[in-house]
Amino acid sequence: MSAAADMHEVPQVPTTRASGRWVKAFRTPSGIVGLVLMAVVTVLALLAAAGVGQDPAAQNVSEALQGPSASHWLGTDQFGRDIFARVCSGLANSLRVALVSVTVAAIGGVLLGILAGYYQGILDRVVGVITNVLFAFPSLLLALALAATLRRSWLTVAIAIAVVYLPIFARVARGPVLTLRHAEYVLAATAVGRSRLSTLFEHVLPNILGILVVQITLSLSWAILTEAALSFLGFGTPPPAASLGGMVYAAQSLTSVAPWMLYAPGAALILAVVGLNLLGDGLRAALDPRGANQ
Amino acid sequence: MTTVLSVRDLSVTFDTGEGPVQALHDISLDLAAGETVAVVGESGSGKSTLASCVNRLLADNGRITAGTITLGDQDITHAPESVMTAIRGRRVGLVPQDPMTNLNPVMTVGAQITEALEVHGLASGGTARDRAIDLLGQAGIDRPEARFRQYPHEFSGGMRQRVLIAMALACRPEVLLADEPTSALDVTVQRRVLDQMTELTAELGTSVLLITHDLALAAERADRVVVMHRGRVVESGDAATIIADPRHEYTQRLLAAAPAMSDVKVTPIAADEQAETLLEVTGAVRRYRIRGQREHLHAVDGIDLTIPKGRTVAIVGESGSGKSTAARLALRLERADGGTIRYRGTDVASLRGKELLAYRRAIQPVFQNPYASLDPRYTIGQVIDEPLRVHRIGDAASRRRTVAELLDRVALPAAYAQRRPHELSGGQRQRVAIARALALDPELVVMDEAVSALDVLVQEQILELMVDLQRDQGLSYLFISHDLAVVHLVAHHVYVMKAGKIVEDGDPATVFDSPQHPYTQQLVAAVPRPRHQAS
Repeated sequence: MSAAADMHEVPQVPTTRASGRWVKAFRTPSGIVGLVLMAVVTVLALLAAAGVGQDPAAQNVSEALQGPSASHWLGTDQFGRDIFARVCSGLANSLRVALVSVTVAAIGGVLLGILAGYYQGILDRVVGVITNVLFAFPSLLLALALAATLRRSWLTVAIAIAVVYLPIFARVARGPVLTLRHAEYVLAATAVGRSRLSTLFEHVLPNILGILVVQITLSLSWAILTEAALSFLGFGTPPPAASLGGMVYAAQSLTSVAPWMLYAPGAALILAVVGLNLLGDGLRAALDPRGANQ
Repeated sequence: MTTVLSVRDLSVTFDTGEGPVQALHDISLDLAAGETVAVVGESGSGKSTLASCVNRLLADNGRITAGTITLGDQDITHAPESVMTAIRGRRVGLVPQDPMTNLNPVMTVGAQITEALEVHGLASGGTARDRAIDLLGQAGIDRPEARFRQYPHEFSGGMRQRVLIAMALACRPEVLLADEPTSALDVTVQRRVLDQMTELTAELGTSVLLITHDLALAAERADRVVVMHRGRVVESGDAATIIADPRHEYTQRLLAAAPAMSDVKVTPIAADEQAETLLEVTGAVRRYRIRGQREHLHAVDGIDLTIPKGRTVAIVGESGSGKSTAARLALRLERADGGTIRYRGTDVASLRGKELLAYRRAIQPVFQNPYASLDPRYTIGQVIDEPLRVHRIGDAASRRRTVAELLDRVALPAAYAQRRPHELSGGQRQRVAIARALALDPELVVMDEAVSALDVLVQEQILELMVDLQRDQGLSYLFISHDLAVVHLVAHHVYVMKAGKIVEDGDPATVFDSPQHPYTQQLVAAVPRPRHQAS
């Protein structure tokens, strides 16, 4: 047995542990910036949700339409409400809607997608028809129709967005599964005696996780934008609760008088969306085991 | 003879994330007019880097740090891009490795050949067209006028490679760089394409720099051979001399490992010795539906074969012959549409639940691609103990011991259990795949092209490992391969498959030395042999 010749051809690289990969991802510039932005956004939203700081709904007409100052960091709106408190509260609302909708869409869509891709046959056709029908509608229009017919609350907005994004997840998950089901390591697992379902969850799903995580972070940012659009059009989170889209709507007639009313929620939206996109980039690098050493 | 290409003391360095890596050290070689020089080496030896230096297409992170490259009497070591553009295709033609990806799918084949002529201003319009049709004909494509207007997808792999050869030779270059020109092709096609290339270059007086991993092929085709190992030339000289009397230890190892030139590894079996039958396939049929066609494709069309215990049974055939489908039927990864597969007398099609699990324990696969057969997320330890976990054998501690023991059996250090697949070389991964296959103590291991993707030295080690395991544990193998030379080394019995049918079978020595069926004769003739050995 002359293994020696083969032995010295070994690529001498240190073993990477799963935790090490996560750390590595956040050493990329985009990962770091994304992480910092999302940390800021999340802390602000959590503080607002916990009721720290000024009451976002408290009206004080005597202080209406004031510019930024020490007592009102980002000024006040036409009812004298503190804009900073409302932006934080709006962010909390955006994140809540985005998290709930994307969680529902991701779990439902990924399950449908991987089962359809893996088992093929009639299941694949049914899922295909449903996703095609849903894709036929422009996504904002579909969300609008659903949000308009349901009782108005943040939860119905979240459900409407979930329905729109579910087929996207089904598609994104199905594609790579079609390739992976023929991968030799999947065949090897079957030949070892693993059941089809167990192989699906042990070998197929974990290997598309990287793609899914990127899709999830991107979908979160789209969901935030969709919620803002629905609120802007008056079908989103109902007032008096603060929502970023609703704030932009209220500000548009007052831009010449109180531009801060427009800039503050707009900037908050951009921060959250950019942060999520950068985070997605960092995570993509983190979750590919082969990319770990590059 | 005049020297058309001369490389002197060439050194190349790549800048990588882990600092500079020197890929070539002081390489020198000369290519005379009309001569064929083969550069032989394993993957990673730097032979392709050398080729990309000659037409100055090094990757962006590569630099020529020393030495000169002279084409004719022009020094092109640091020639600007504008000069190189006029040289590439005109004075140095390139035949790339993969015919599938190197033709533009939206252009007709004819347009791609005339393009080369037009770019260099050698011909245009009707003249270019006539010249291209001539070239296609010379490259061995029948009805070249009709073929001229067709698209690459209407051509088979071998025909595409002929088109690429025609393109490379369109401008009558002085030097033809052929970088593994036939490695992606079936053996019989490989022979025909190489014959055509040799004939054409001889006619045009083109010098050929043939880059290959196959020493036998190099010895067969080249006048001189340059052996490369880890970025250095370890030996060079007349092809016949190197084969007959290799000086360098590495060349000797390469030569000893080359399947066509090495000794049979497997212990022959006495004629009267009877072994019990492990797997018996009778009249197995597997059909596939092809999209848009009413008729089914018979991938496996009524084959009979028997695998006795403790023996190696091989199926040889080219791609599309159905040999891999036969392997999958045996593994019960697919079900036969007709016929029976019996394992120790039991029909495997009827197995369910516990019985199927027991069958899976008894028969294990090793697949072709060592890069695709291990889950990239698993550690090597997890890969090897997966079968044990699935079958609930032992506890965590005992499984750890088993993994260490299995790693030892395939000659890998126990510490590798902590590594991930991408940290191992191809040969090591294939050892891991074998260790996984052995974890359940199977009776039969199905090797589906398991050594085809490996360099010859690594391939030899894996073959030796196979034979050792068979001797020590009485393992049986179903060995699927396109390479008759490799099969000859390890098999007790060989079946030759073509288009889903078995056309010939027998013991390898007989099949190899006096093939009966015309297809087998073609296969045998296609195995490259050094000129002086050929009769």
